[in-house]
Amino acid sequence: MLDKDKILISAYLDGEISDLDKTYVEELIKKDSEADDYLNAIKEVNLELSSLSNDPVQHAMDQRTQKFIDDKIKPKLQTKQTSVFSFLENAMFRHVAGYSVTAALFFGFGMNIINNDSQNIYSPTSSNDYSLSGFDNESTKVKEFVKFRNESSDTKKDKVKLTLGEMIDEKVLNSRILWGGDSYFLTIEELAYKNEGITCYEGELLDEGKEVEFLYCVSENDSTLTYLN
Amino acid sequence: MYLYSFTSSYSPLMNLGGLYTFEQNIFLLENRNMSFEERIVEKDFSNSLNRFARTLAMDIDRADDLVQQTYFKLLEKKDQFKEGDDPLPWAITIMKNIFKDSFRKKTEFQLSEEGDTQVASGEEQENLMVQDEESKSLKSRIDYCISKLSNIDREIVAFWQADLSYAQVAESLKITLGNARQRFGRAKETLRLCLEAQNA
Repeated sequence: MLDKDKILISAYLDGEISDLDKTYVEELIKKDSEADDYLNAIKEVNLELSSLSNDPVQHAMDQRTQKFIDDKIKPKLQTKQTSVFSFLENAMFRHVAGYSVTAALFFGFGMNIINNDSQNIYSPTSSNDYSLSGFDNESTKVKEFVKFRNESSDTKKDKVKLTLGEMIDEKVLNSRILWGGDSYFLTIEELAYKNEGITCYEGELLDEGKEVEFLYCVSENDSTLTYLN
Repeated sequence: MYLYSFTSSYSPLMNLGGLYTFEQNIFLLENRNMSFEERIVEKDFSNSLNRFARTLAMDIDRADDLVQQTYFKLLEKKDQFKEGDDPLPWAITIMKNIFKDSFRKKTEFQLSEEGDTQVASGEEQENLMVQDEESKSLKSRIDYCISKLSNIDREIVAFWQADLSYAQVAESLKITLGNARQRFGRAKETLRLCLEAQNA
């Protein structure tokens, strides 16, 4: 038997073959008993290999790995797993072009909403709901957090998120966050989206002289904060 | 063979213009492609890594270590990952590198210790052969045959065990699809010959 045919038979059993080669192999095994025997021998090899993948040793290893993932890996990814807005955390949305993509996304939603008159939907052209009427633009809420030793700066985003939640509850547009010796200014600038229990606000965070635009979306049970630049 | 596809025939962003409800748009966006974080904790992803590690290392404890080290490296390097790709071939490349590094260190250690090692006597060599025969009977035939493969063939078998497609293997090894097919065919042929010799 030719080496070429052996290779084709092996690929045939793996389903990694073109239609033309498949026809060739099927004819070959019909007319050549040696080819047919070879096909059965490679099937045996595949079965032996598959038996390894399903033996108790492998199952025990799979369970150990699963436990390792649950204990050590998932906690590091927790924020990515739970939010219904997790898609906003994608690199695409954090990218420099994130703002325009997000704008396109909400334009899309807006089009969807405008085109679907049967739903009780929000239309930015028919009311002034996009204005933040009822919000206090004069006063500044001060929110202070204690900074613990060795506390990671990674928790800053959580503090911004928490403060934004309180600002919305209290209908305040400006706030100052004091965290140890650091201070940040937060401003909610506009209501970017509101529909079916989900509301998104755009605004700015002044962080060490740097302006960071954000999109904060909140639903009944979840909220997400995305930095746009 | 299992082939994980991250590409889809639809473009959700194109569908935002009014064809779907808000919930459908959210669903389409979330499922446009599975994120890196979601994919790496999937069971079939970890199972593939386990099978690759076990075949490559031929030792279950080392395989456990390899998988765990690979996960930590994946987290460490996740910013280098290109969104939209399947992280499995990338994870396997990382695992291979970790394995090669640890193997190299072990070899260097053995070489540095060589001066202190005396050549085994005839009787000791005989004992070693008996031990090899015993370990052969303790292992399954296929385990034994995999352990006798060359590194290249064993790697190919590990890819097969991890359920990677020929195309993914070709991409991972930077070889052509035809070359990948040849390597799979030859590795299986070597295993077949070994298994037949075991039966004889």
